[in-house]
Amino acid sequence: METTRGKFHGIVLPRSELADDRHVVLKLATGYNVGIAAANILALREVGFQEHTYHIPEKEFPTDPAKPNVTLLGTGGTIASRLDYRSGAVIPAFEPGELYGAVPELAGICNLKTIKLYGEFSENIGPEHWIGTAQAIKQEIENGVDGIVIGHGTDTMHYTAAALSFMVQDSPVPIVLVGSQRSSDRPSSDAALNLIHATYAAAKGPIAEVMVCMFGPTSNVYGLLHRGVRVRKMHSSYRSAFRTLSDVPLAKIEGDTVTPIKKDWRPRRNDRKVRVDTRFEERVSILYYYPNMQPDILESLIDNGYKGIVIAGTGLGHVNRPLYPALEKARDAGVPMFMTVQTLWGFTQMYVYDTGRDIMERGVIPLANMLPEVAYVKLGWALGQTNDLEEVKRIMLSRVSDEFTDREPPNGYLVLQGGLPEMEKNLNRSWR
Amino acid sequence: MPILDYEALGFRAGLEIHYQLLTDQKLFCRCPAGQYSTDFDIEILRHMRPTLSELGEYDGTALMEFKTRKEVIYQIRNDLVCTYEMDDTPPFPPDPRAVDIALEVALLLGCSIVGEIHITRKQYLDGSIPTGFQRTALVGVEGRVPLGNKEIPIIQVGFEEDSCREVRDEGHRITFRTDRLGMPLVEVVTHPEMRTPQEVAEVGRRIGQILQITGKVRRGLGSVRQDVNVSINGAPRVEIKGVPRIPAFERLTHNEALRQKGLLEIKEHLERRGIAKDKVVVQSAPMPVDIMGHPVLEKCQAEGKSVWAVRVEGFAEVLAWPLQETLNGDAVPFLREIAGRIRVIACLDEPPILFCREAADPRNPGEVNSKAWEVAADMTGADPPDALMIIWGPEPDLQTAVQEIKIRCQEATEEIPRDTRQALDDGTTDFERVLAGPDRMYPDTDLPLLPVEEAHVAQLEAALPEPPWKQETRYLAWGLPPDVIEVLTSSTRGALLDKIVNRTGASPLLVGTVLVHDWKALARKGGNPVSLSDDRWGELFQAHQNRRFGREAIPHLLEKISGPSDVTLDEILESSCLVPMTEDALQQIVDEVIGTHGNDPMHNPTAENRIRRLMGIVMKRAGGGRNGREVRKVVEQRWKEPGPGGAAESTSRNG
Repeated sequence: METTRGKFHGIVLPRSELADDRHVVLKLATGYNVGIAAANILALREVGFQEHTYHIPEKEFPTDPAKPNVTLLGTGGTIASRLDYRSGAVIPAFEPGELYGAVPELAGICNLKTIKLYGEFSENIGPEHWIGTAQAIKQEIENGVDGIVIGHGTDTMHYTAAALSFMVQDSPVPIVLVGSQRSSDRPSSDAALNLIHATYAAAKGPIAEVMVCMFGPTSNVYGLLHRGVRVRKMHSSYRSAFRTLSDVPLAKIEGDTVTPIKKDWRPRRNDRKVRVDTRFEERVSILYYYPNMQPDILESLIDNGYKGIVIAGTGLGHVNRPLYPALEKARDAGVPMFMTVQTLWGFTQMYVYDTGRDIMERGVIPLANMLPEVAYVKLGWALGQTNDLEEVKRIMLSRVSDEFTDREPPNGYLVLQGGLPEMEKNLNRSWR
Repeated sequence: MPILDYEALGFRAGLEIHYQLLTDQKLFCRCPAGQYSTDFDIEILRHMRPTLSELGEYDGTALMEFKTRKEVIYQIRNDLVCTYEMDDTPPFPPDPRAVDIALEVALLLGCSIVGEIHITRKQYLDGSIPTGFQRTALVGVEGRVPLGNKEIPIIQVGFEEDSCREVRDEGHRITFRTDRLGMPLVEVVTHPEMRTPQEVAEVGRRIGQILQITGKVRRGLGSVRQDVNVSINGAPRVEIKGVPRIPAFERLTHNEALRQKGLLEIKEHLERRGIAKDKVVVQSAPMPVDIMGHPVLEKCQAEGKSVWAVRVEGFAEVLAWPLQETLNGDAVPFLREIAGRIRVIACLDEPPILFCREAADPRNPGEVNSKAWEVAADMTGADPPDALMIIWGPEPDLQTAVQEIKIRCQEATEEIPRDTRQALDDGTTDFERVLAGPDRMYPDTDLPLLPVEEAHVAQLEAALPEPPWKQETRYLAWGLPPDVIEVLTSSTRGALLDKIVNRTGASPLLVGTVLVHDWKALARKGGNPVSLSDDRWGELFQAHQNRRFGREAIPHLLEKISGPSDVTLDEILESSCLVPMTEDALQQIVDEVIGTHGNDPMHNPTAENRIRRLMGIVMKRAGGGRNGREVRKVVEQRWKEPGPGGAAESTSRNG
């Protein structure tokens, strides 16, 4: 390629569709890619053409009748992956053979079956996918599987974990959601270790609940199992982004050992009975309160036919006075409203201040220490079952899992989730 | 250095030179650059796994590193490292200043500048970068650097982030310090067109000059990393990493040529003996520990580790085959090839790594008693033509070691492995890792592509410093001495000299000498010549041109003006009695000096000596307010004239 800026030799690569149309991409002999401005190209000489298909080395996943059977349900996200030239993006690898090629350790844990349910980034996951996933879980449990792993993008993993916690109850086997904060095309990815931990928890772990399994510390040391209704993504990029809020995590998993941290968990059973109720009302919303919020925001939800509203209020569960007429309008329109706290940690307590009493007077029901996102999912699930407001209220205030707790232990408010050696050392130093 | 016929051997070498850029911040985050510390706040632990390249292949190095199963520890200081370097936050856009410096270097080297910068990930699974890859990008290709009457072609110029500093590497645990991690580097890669070790050193020096002339690279140990690749006819490219100083290139590349020559001879030797790849027999057996009496083995026994004897059939001569030569003239045998693999891949790194019946390595001296060799031979059935070794460590690592011994011996029958080798102080090299190929490169999907606009390149091009080889020609024509030219053309001081000469009309020889010798003297006295602005230098030489002081006053003035910057040159001149001195005032001083010192006793009172002595005293009194030639003229005049000093003169002459 002869250009006004000199000569270039290389392989012309397909260019990402999202990049500008003024450059050509060349891969040079040294492996580097560079862009050449199309306008500067004086002459081109084609010396060959090669179509390339790329694949992850695939090996047949070995089966061993003595090992437990695990089904991996794929919704998206990248556990193992390859790169796509066109978009420059990462394509997930998913077949057991591909996974075995990338994470051979899995074969030492279980017999693996994979079902690709969806291929969505987590921001595109919603009620439709929750329902489909819950149904697939039911099917697999009835087929006799010993544990289920769900590969999921991390951004909304805690919403899906909450949805599955309500839709799938009394599972006899572990249901473990897993993802990665560093995509698996990187040598330092957390994907492989997360997948190994999750598969182990699903295949052999004692706890039969809907859980999220992600890194405990940022170090490659151990993973934490979080209860699906108390977990939240608390950092946009840290490996240790997932934390249990207002409580301690369910368990720690290191190597092939699951060590429960909490005492009250549902043990694995030998039967294959599970209750699944996937009815869901999509017209629910979360209203995140901010100072000087005007009533028109709330009114537009009512006018647009929303069937239920979760408010994330300030402090113990408050909104400002100008919102009161809109609260009354919602109450009169039969739209149930529930209060959660935007502090995320701690309980609502709407008797402490008059404001709280005024708001409750207008029909808002406090939800103790239920996380706003969990409350949103639970409200959709409750409204899916009934339109009767009393019944909706009853469901919301009946505990299915730990969506609200009786008490908050002092170690429930450890943003760093305690026990992380590198962080404790960090705190001791920073604050001495 | 011993002589080799490099031309007949087909010696070819290429260089990869990295310099840290003089920026305030790191390349892909906003952490401070250039701050080092041995102290740390936290340690984190990671592992590295190989991933697939864009073309769906695993890279050879990547697989090798995976075999080592290392735990990687990073020592982190909260104020020097952020979540980006820890690989817990995606990158921020590259520092535009660093990108511009790389473009400037590429332009200086006459490269074709790319139209769009693509950040690429270069995999490093040794743990030296927490992400497992280095973010790197090309800004130019196909440049050239002059070497005598030929040109060495440049493959590419790019920028990339620096890696961690290794603290220690013991067994399966390697520890890194992260202060340096993420600092911007510029990388210059030449084609393998150097044909002698001397050329390698010369080109290394040249490229260093070009980088330093920008004034935008860091200097000193640790800020420069130099790699050299060497091949001879029939051998693949072998890379030597981390050459600390330019002169070391000569011995290292010579030794590498010697090593490759030896390896080719070994291959022929094995062919003659009928030992093909599939005929390499390696056999191992556990050894009783108590008979050998070497402290390393005693420790092994205490720690419950195993000791194995390993026999390689028919390899006795090969293990002892000399391949390199240390600065002391000691031969380094093929044994080191094996020890290197065991040390790095099997992580059995306790010196002396292994014992060998047939050979010893000056790097890892140590031996066991003859009884041990008898037992080892018994257990493995080794005959005299066989190579016999003893290794020790945890069993899984010993298995890896035996595998590696076999792999390396098989390679000896086929071809020279494409190693990356580490440079040692004694002028030899040792195995570092398998040379990485282009397979370890893949695009970074975290950052957008960065267009390089025509107008921006034109702007950078217009501001380029003159290349050192052009400066050199000019300075030679001006009659500047070689030692002065050397310094001027490998720093920004050449450009400074040109600026001063253009602005003030001062003599290049004077300015050059001051910028090199007086500069050095000032620095030695603890002064800071770097802190002087171009304007300050201009002011100084302008004042000298205006005859406000003589050459002799410059060192003193430099000391003064490199102090607090709010003091003007005029104020300094006044306080140093360097205000312009009238002819009358000078004559008065001269007369006074002749009066008081004209008849001081002298050892050898010739007229010339007398004048010089008086001049020295006058110059001190006048504080440099007039230059030496003018003072001499007045002293000569007044001393010869009859006057207050006349008598003294005669006394002196008679005395």
